[in-house]
Amino acid sequence: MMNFNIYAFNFLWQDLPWVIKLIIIFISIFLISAVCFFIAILWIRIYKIYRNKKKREQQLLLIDFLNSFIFDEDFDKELEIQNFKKDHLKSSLEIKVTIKEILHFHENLKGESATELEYLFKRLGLIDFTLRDLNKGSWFTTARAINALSELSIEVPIHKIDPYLNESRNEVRQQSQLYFLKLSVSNPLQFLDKTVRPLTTWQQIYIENALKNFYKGEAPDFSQWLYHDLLSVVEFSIRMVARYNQFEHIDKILPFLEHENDIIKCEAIKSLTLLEYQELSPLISPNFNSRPRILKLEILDAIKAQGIYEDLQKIGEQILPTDWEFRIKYLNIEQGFAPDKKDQIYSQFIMEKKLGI
Amino acid sequence: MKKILVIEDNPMVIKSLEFKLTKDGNNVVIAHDGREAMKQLKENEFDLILTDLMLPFVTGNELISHIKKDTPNTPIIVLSTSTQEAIIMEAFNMGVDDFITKPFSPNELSLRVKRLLSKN
Repeated sequence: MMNFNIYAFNFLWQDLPWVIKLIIIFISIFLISAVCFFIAILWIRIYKIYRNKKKREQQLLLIDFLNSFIFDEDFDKELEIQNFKKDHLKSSLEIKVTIKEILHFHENLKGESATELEYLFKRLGLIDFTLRDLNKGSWFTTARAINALSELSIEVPIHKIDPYLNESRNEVRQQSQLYFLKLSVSNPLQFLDKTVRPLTTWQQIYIENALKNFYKGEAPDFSQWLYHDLLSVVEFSIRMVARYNQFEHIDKILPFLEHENDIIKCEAIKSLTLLEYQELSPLISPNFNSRPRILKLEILDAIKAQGIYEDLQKIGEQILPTDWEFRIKYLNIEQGFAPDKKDQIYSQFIMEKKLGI
Repeated sequence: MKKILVIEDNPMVIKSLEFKLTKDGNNVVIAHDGREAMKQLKENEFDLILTDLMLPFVTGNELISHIKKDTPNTPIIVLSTSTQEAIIMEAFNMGVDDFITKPFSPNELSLRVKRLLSKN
């Protein structure tokens, strides 16, 4: 019967014109692709539902397990750890969910409970899994693994994290920087010596934030990175000297007022203003008009913050009458210096504007 | 047995608080958002209220002013991620009895709850 059908099909097929044959082939390819596509979508959906179900089950199990582990004095910790390892840490999904939940708990708890979670992480053997993740290749797996280690303050040999300080992905670099910062005892920014890629603005913010919130030791001497090869590190160090009130380094910041890079000059002005360096105005006032816009703005802000009226007037003499942006800024600052002349300054400004001076 | 209302939307924090406070011998009632909390407050009386500030539907501040109007003697502890001085000051000005920032120490929280309950 089968042979006959194939024979009949061959017979019919040979008699068909080539255009029809081509159409049939295309339709068949399209139908097969559509069916395959549909099956693939269906399979992905089913797999996702199954995965989410398993994930939810593991999460529920972990909430109970972790709460009992932390709060229940009658809980036989060692025995339960062994049982949990044997029964609920078999697949990669179970391990991933467990790491995520422990991190989630750790994020919300502190003190003894947080220490208990760190201990549990080690006892469940999750460090090995995290270290395996480090070398998996995809940047997000690496970043996640380093994040887990730093969040739980787990020390691993330095050479395991060191290479990621100069990774091409910002996220991985950031996580490794935070790792060194959070786990350091004495010199939290030592990793800057090994950094060869510029610090992004976000990295600078994260480092500053981590220094304030996680590092418990003595503040480092930020002047040691003032002559770093990377301008972003220099900029960050100048800022930190001021943020941490390291007045003793004012002399080291002064040369940066003449730096070739305008951003560094701006940062130096900002920091010296913050450090209330009284001799700043005479250093920044000359040649105001020939300076780039960002520097002019920074200089005016510095004078506004800690200069005297005479300093401002010296700058005012240099501003061109047609330079409206800086004239307006100047007049606004002048109002602060001479509140009694406020009306006079305002009417002068209106008059000048009318006359187009 | 003291009755405590926990108003929190983070399931992990809810479970931990429920576990710890129940273990300490309290009767814990959970509200996952401000609206649910309002309903609970209308139907029951509580010895202490533990609330987050960032809540769905009704904010923590609205909830605190509502509680202070209806049952001014019920102690309130705020459990929040906020560390901003202005927010903490505002909460105390509204009459909360204690402010705990997240991440929190469950043991410390338990002690603070006990202290407030024994006061009242």
